[in-house]
Amino acid sequence: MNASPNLLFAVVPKPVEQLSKQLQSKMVDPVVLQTLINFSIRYWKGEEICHSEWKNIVKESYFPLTLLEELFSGVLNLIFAVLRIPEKLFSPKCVCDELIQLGFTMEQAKYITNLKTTSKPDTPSFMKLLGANWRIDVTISTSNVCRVLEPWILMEFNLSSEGPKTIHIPLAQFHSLRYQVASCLTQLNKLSV
Amino acid sequence: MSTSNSASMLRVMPQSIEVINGINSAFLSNILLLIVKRLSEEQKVPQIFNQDEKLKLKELLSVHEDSTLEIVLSTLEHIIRHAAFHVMRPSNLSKHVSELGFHEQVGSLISELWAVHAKSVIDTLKKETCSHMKVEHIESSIHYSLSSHKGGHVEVPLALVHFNLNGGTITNKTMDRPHSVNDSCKTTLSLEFNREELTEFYQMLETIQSHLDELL
Repeated sequence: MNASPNLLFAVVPKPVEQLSKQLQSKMVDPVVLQTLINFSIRYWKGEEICHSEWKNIVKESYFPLTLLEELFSGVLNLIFAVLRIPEKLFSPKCVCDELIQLGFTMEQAKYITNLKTTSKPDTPSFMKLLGANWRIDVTISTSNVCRVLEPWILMEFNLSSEGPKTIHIPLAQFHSLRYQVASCLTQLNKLSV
Repeated sequence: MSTSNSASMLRVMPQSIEVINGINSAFLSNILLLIVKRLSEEQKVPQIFNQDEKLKLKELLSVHEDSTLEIVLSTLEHIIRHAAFHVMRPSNLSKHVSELGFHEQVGSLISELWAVHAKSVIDTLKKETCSHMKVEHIESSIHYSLSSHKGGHVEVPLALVHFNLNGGTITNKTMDRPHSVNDSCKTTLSLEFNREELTEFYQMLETIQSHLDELL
């Protein structure tokens, strides 16, 4: 297979060629193929595939071990290629068509294409804000000054990698936070355009 | 409140009144100025004067005993804090100080200083809270996430908001160095947002602001 798909590969790797030949010869059981796709996703996410799971698929497929390993290599290369397509260049229809060209069925091609949006890589990142609760309080008096009458905001952040975190935001800092978030949003909108 | 405060001040007053009345005006003015300046500072320390300063003051004021110096300094600080607590006018403060037994000169010195520095002292003391995890400063930045070891080319713009927090507990690491009452572990909470998440966060902040507007 010399002609290469546009989005997936500049040059089609040999394992993918082998996979395509097997798919087009209708030798590969759909269930076995789906299992190999699932294994590839788990491998991409960094999960371990235990030996017993691999033994089961070898038994179910009735393929020789070497052939199954080649098929898995092809599926792995393909899945990685789909997931690596830049967001701006990703076109579900084009990817789907290319997968069908390689020998996948429509359902399988759609499933693989949807992986791009549903699977998130386990890459390092800062904490994400999952949700927030807030309360406005007014300090009437403290041990230092008998009449304060200053509002402040108590916020409870639900964070992705930690438990809830409660912070006290004085009014001046709250205004600073609003200004900075608005400023960031303006810049992000300009970047998107 | 004033009566009970006067009563509590009177317990320590007799010794300190005599000593303070005998202090040179220029020295007294400088001591009071240092007290109000240290009270106006955002970074608080447990004691206004450190040991070296107290030794120098002991010599300057010709005070023989440490306890007498402590009483004098704590009385002067207490007068200023009392004035700040009640948000006293300078004229009322001068009258109050004279009623306690201080010379008129001492009263006028304190009230003149209070007239100049009252606002800064009261504003700083108002900001002191006993809250845990108080936001001291907020910073933000915009980043472009280009690539990762698994995700390939992504090109996602991200915003980072950093909350510099003053809160937590003093650890063994900080125990060895001089620390202030508010110098509990400073931490930074960094949150990452994409465009949609930041929009949602901003809408929440706007909701809070609308409630604040109704309040004010």
